[in-house]
Amino acid sequence: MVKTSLKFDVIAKCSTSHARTCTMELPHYTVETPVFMPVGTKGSIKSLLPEQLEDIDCQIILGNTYHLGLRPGIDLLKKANGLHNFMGWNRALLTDSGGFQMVSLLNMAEISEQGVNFESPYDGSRSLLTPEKSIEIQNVIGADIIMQLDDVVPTTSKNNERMEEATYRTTRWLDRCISAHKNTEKQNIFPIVQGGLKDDLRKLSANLNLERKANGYAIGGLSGGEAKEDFWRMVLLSTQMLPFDKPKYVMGVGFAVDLVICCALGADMFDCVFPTRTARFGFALTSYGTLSLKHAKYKMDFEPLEKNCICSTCKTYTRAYIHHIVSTEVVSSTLLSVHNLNYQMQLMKGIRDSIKKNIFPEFVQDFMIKLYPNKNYPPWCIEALESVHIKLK
Amino acid sequence: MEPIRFSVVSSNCNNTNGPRLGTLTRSNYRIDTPAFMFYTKSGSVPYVSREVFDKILPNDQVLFNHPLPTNLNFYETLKEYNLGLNKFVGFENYFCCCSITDCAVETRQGFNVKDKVAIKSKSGNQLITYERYMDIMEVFKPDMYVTLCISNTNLDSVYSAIEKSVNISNRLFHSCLERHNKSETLKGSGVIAPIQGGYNVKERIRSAKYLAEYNDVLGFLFDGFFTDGSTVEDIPCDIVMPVITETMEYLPPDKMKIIFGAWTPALIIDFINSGIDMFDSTFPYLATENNCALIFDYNLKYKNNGIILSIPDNNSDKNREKLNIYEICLMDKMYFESFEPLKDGCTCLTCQKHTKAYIHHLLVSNEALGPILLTIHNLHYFYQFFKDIREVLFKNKHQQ
Repeated sequence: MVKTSLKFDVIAKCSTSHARTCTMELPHYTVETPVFMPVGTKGSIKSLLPEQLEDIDCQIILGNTYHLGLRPGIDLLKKANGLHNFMGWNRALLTDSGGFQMVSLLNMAEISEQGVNFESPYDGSRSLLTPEKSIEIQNVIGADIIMQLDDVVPTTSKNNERMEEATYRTTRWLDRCISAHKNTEKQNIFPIVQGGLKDDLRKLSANLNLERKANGYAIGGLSGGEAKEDFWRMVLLSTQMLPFDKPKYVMGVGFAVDLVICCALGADMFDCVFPTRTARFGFALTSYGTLSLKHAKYKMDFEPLEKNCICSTCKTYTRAYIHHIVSTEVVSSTLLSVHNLNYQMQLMKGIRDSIKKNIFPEFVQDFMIKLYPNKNYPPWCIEALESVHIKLK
Repeated sequence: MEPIRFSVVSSNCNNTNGPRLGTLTRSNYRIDTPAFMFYTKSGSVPYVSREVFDKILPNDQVLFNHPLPTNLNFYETLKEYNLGLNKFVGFENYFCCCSITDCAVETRQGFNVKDKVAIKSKSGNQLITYERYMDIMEVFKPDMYVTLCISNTNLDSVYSAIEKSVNISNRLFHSCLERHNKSETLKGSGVIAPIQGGYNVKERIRSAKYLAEYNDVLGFLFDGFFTDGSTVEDIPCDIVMPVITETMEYLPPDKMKIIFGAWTPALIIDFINSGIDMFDSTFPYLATENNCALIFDYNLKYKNNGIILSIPDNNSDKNREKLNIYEICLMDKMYFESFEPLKDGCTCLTCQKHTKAYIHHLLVSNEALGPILLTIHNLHYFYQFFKDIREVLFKNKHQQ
């Protein structure tokens, strides 16, 4: 039994769908779910001060074990007393296991039972990331939630045998991670449900995870380019397998529509580089869709990015100004990142508030009609929502 | 709105030279001088948004300097917007100055045609006549602005180029001022007359004498010392100082005196001692551009009608390979494990929360937060330096 450094309470549940709002008490902060976690890959959320993140009510952020392990490296993070200290972030933190980056970023990664053998992009040297090593690094980083190393196979892979091997290996690696985990009082390890797009493998993986008893569970291997029809079914299947009284984290989800639907399907936590990355490319997220600020039509547009938005960017700047600086001044990344993360945070707050008032289905309907004023909803959205008894207007 | 005014509060010398305290006021807003203008690019202080800027200097009234090459492409938009440049770029309720040259970068020469001035903007070179320039000013609505001029002279300029820059700049000044006096929009705005003449004292004096005949200016800009802003630190003090002091005698004492560029703190003190009131922030900006943090210790004393700056040589940090006495470069590997603030005792947000090791990590990882944290520190440090200068002048005033 994993010792408890996480207290999870369901505050309210939607009477129609599986959506729920909860509090998750972690060593550094009490997080309200459903929650979106911005990604701070190399020890900072790009272009933003920790104070700005607090100002937009960001409660938990994600750090990447793979990047931080390479630079500044485990020895320095140990001396710095962990990542919270190093980067000046006092709220909750989650780290991934590093496995996903190796497989997605590196061509040369080789996966064996032992772990992932990869080449350092900085000096070309080869290293082996084992489950033990991943946990060792994550223990040094000191995040409130750490992830097991999993064997990730792209969901689009047709190789069933490999998928099955990965599912079982993920559980074997989980056991090695749990035994290697040294800081159970301050850090929670989350197992990851794998199994690609196969119902039976997902169920198997979920059941194997449940035998291990963790304080929370992740749903992994999705958001990798699979069809949305498969995506939502796998999310639903997984959330329904996992216990009601534990947080459920769908990895790599960050599009607004996906967030709303995953909440309806019973998920609690999400992360994605999308809002900050798209900001750096000059895009602003709004309830009525995405604005590409590079477009000449904003040259004379003196509205804020979104009317009534409470973020510091919208209080100060117009679309026209951002249009003028978007491709030349780096400060435009700050302006758009603040806005986009605030958009995500407000979206999640809207979801939580509507669940508390038990009007989540109405929230979903309003959200969808703003985004699709002609009601040309994507079929997968309609199906996914109908599966949890929400009908779009 | 009330017109902008400059007044000398105290000057301890009988002649026009000498350090002085002054105020720049408009309606209820006030800036004490000696001070500096915050350098902007495309309307923003490089790397920092308004939200972050407010964390550097909460509540203080400041002045922004907007160089035309970085914001000329706003013109069409601002014409439609009609609320002026400073509001557009997020600095409403702060002072706004418009100027001709981007003092942080190299400005190309040789494109000036007759009385048109070549402005190298984002959309290529544009030839600007005084009429067009004044159209732009009417749309930008600054609190003060430098009149259109040719300032492409440097240490290597030959006499004919210097003479030409004085002649054209004087003519342009006259035309701009005429137009200014007819303009309803610019009624309360201050005109800044640019003194040209390179390093030729005679030409400087000729320029100053001509401009000094006009009473209705807010101040004078010592212009035309360099064409590449990043090399200003290398200009020797004994070459630039006589040009300033000798020209100063021909200027009315009650007007504001301005110089732009990344002059070192030692030279800034010399300038203040010669009666300069206003600078800009290209020095801390270029420090950030070079991944550096300002860390110089300094003592300021008032003696013999001038401020004396002494910079103690700190040998306590023996490893320190200083680039110069003013800054350290955070890209250096020696900061990898340095869990201390950029500068002990510094009260800026960066030093309150972050370490050299973290900033080093951000810079080597190419993270955008690195220059943001350096900017916060460098601007704060430079601002504090000027605060301390004013404090020394203020104390001296009360001792007399």
